[in-house]
Amino acid sequence: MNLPLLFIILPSVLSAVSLFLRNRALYYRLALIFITLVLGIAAFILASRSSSGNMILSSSESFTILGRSLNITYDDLPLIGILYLVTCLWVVSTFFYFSNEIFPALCVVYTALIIASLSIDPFLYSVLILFLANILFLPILSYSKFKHIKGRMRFLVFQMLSVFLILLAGWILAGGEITPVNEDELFLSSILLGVGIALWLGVFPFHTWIPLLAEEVSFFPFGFLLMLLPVSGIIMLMKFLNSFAWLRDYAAFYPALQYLGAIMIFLGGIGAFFQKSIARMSAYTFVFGIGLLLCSVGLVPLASTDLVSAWILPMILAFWSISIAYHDLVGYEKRQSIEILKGKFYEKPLHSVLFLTGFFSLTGIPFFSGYPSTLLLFSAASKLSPVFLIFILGGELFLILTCVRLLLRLSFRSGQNLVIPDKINIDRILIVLVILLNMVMGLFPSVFYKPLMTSIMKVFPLI
Amino acid sequence: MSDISFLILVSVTILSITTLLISNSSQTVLIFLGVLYLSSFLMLLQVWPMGLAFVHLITGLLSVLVINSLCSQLTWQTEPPRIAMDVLMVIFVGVITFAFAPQLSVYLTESSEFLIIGFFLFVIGLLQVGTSQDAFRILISMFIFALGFQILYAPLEGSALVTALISIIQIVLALVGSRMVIRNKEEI
Repeated sequence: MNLPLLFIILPSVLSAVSLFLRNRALYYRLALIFITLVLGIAAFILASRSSSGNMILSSSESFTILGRSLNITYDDLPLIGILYLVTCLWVVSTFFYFSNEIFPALCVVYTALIIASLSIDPFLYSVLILFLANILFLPILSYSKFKHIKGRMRFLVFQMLSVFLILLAGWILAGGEITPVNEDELFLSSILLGVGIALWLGVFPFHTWIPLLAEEVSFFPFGFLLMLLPVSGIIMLMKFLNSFAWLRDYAAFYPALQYLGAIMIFLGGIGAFFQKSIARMSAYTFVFGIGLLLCSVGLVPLASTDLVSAWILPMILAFWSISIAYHDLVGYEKRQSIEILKGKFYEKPLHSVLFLTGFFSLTGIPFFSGYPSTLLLFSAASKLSPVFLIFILGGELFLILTCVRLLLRLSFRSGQNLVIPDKINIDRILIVLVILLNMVMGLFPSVFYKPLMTSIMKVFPLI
Repeated sequence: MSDISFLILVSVTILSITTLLISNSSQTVLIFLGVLYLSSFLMLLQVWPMGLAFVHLITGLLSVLVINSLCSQLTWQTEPPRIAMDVLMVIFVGVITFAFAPQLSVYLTESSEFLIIGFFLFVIGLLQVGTSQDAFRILISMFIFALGFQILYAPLEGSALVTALISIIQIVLALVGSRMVIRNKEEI
């Protein structure tokens, strides 16, 4: 058995083969759900067996391809398991919400490529793999009525530029894994790396592609992309930190990330509040989420990797909830004004609640999954300068006001009465389960967050 | 690389870029993009094994063919102020490149020939991406920009995996990008 073969090559090949079945929608989707579910569960089982020392299977953790290797260790498996289970959730959702035939298979391929990017050695090549995954995903994003392509072009250009900058920075730093590089090289590579990652994650002032893209593509696949893109970017950033000791000791690095994250939180909150377009509002909420992750990396000296781990699950759930609910409430409407949501609560109560829970999780409202993470964020941030705290609080405040605005629009009564359907559709069960999971995670955070914190700490032991 | 061959390559690159920027037909643009790939192939032969350099050439030409198969009928109006701006841009970037690119050898250990041609294409591509309004021109500029990077990066890294990944990216980009451009033009 070979872990990279099992978790990268095999799912990619199987999902590509499954495309032949795509005319039989049920079998096609069931096969992909089975693959992702089995891989997700297998990752957890293998990880627990290896940690308990009861490993019966002997495994090679490396797979050589064109002279380079893909390495997966047992410590990486919980993270991989989460990625596959989340993909499984998205594939299950395609039964009800997004009829594109290629999307489910591409979801699995995208996840496999993300895992490949996390496991490739040297890890600098990961940006190339991630870029490839993003380009492959572009036709699915384009599955809509919108033909203007400004946002997609900007997305491509920014991603391409970031790939080149990160590769160049990586080459300059290649010697830095063993010996420190000189001051000039350090400065140049820091600039290249900083700008590269900022372009990649849509960090201020390079965030403009996110709302632009949201307006012109299908929101469902956009949500999937925006859920995995920041997670992979943040993990790449942490790999850099884990590999280069000088970067960890670089005085300006953590404060820069803290302030960039705080500015993004503020920008996301204020941006979401002042938008008239619901697509842009949701996109700014995603900017807010990326800011939270970035800020968490900046707070690594104060909160270790725990804060990053604590935000991954709430962000995934929030982005899923917003995307699914948006798809059902707004769909492919060209007019994306927030007025569309007027009275939707009476028409589609469950999706309206799901939409709000997505916002509530990111805002950190009590009883939702983001609440413990927000508390942890504030407790770490309170040790820093008040300016930093003001930015975060400002962003949070504006996002809360956005929630209030949404609540008022959704519950606006214009002669409608609450519609209770005669029979319950299966998708409603899925939605209720996710809302409950969201709340259970908020009520019992240690059950969910502690194992993830431990496993991420093992993946990046030097941070 | 001898001075004469370098001079020929620089001239071909500058002339191709200029023609490509002032042309009003997609086929002319694609022919000169192909010429750029050919000249970059000759450069890469200096630092890469024949096989890898050949992969680069084939990928480039294949991308040109893919774009041509979808966008061959595209034409657009060229306006004199835009042509003047593009020519001035080529001159400006050319001067800057010849003056400053060789100094980058402090950070990137490669010969100044690679730095000059790579940096020139990289910056021209980037500026065009930023200033163009037309989707097709943005797509072509992205290829020029990527070509510039490949020339800069080739002496630093001769990995088969990187070459393979960049090749796949290029072909997929050609396919996806030209389809998007065509859909966009159909709407207009």
